[in-house]
Amino acid sequence: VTTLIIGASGAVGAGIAKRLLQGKWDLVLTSRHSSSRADPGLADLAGCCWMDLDVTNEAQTETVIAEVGRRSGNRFNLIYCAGRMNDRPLLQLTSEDWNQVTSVNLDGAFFAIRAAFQKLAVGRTGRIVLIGSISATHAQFGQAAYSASKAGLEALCRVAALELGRFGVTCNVLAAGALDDGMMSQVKPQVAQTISARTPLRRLGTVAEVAGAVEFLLGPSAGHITGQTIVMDGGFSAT
Amino acid sequence: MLPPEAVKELVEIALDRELAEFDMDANLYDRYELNSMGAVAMFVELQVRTGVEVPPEIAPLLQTGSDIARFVELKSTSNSA
Repeated sequence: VTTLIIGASGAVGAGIAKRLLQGKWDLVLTSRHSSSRADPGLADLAGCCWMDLDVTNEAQTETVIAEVGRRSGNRFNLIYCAGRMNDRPLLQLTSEDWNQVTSVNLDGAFFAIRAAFQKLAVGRTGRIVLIGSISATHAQFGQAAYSASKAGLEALCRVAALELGRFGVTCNVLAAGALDDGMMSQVKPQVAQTISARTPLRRLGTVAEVAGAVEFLLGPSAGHITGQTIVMDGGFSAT
Repeated sequence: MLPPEAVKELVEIALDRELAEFDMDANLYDRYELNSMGAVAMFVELQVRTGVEVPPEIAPLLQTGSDIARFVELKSTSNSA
């Protein structure tokens, strides 16, 4: 079984790829451009099979997934990690801002699942894991586009689980809270401190913890979990 | 050529029920109340059994058992040519 990680050059995607590589999983990784793979943090993944993929490009998505289907005999997993954040208050949010975020976070996932649907159904073993966010259910200032896209991802997941279930394919969302080494690295330290203080576990999550949860969702113990959003946020959303 | 019995089996899988009789020239959607998700299951099963993939843009054009059998024959011929 091959595992395709879409958006593997980002912090979360790369963390998942490194974890799965340690477990000897056969991987196909994508990033938007080959230049985005030059990051020294991706050196461990240099020996993997990488493909260029702009997730907003339907035709390119179909080409990549067709190749993964051929390579794996339609026995593959799909992990969608591509994500974009462009926080602005609603009054300042342009349609261009909105489209940039939703096209990557939601449209791209739709293109990928649709392209993979028939192949996964024939292969009868696949797992789909979509990386979501607690922003889907917990409003954060300035995150209208991001929150809406992640909420859409959860709805997409449930329908995919329903339609693919009869073929033995599962689909779940892993909704992460703020991660110490994820997109939070782009915000002010005070924001991270505030979130930590409001989190029952008193700290942010880590990419390694997300990767571990994804590996669980790909494994045999998660064979009967589908259509779910698994929340991993240190208890932030429980309060 | 996919025999009528094989096509009937595919339709039964799609419908989740057995058919007492099956007309290869009947419209699957009208006569047997095949729905779009059932059709997906039918074409997936067809691919599993024959290796012939029905592209999503072609699937709506295959309305009868005979259409399916002809498509499989066409694809098998073009693959072996």
